[in-house]
Amino acid sequence: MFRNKAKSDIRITIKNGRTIDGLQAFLPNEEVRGEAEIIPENDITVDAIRARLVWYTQGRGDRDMGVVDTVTGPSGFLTGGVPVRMDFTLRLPSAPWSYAGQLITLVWAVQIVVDRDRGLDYDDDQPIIMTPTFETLDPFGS
Amino acid sequence: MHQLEPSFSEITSTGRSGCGVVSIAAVSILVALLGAGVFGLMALDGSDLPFLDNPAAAQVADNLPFVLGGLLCLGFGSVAAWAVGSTIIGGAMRRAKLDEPEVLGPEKVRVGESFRVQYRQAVKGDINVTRINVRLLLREWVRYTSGTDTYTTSHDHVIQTHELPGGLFSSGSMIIQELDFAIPPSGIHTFPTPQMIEDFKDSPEVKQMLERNPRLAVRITQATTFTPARNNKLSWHVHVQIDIDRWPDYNQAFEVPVAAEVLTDNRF
Repeated sequence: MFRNKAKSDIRITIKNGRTIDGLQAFLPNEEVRGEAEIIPENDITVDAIRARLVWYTQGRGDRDMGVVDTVTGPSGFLTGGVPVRMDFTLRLPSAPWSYAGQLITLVWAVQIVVDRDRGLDYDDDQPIIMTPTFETLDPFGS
Repeated sequence: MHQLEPSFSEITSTGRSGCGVVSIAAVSILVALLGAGVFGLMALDGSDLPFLDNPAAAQVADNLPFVLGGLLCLGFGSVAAWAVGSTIIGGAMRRAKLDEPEVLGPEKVRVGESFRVQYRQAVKGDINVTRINVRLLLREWVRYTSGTDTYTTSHDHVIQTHELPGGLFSSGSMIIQELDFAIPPSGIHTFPTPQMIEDFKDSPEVKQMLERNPRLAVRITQATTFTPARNNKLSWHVHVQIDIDRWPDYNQAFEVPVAAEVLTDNRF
């Protein structure tokens, strides 16, 4: 999946998991393996490119979030228009599980952060699902 | 079995942080007293409206502020009485007839697991219980900011209901129930989990804070609000509602901690 963000294209490919509703789904404590491709629009210098496994809330409440695993990739000078690739393997914890309710949605995502030495960082994420049972995602048993 | 902790009373409530019933009551009483004071001073002063020559109109105009003042005081007084009455007096009335219950349940439940709750409540006065309703709820609780104000709201999913017949209970008797519930196999655990809170204490952000200001950090990490999910919570509760004829109902929920584990072989 290509996402066009200001000054950078970030492509995140998840290579394992099962597909539910178009998203890759994983069991708790499983590994998430994938690849990121970053194409900077201009020449930039980065402190590091990081792949992070994050959860965050969406919905009525103010956002809560957590970073559970991070892999640090290439750093240094990146030439504009030249793709940079990074493999990552991230480990999911036992909780929280993905959830979609009335007020709260719990989202898991692989996030790629281009940590620039100067200026704003670039980032993009690819949502995934973490669930202990793949049969159904109905938390209310209805 | 383990004593379940009381959590909240009314289901699906909406509240405003820092502006509870006590605050509403306090403000209402203050406004009512101020209103009464202002109009009392006016009455003592014997102030008149100089542009009214008609004696009848002047009398009406003279009395109008007192009528309006009285209505204002009555309005705020009613709000204050409702706020105070529904909590303090209502609670005292309930306690006059029913003792605090003993609610025993599992220390933790897994998703998909059945569990039993033992409910025992001493009756302190003769009552006619019209209905006992015990529900298993999943509560979504959120906190959000709008401008400089902070609000909270919640939504309760009723998962299971036990409708039980009431009856006449005399002073000294006990309301005793043993009820079975089950967390649905596709359900969700309590959020945040205890493990998440422990992991949060070991996170780099918190370690950095501890290094920068250890004394402040100790106080913060001991607070109940110290959690990776300050604004969003999911929790399971057994909610008990006892409807008493011509008496305030008894409403109380008790939290059931649900672990982030799935039961594969459910043998009760």
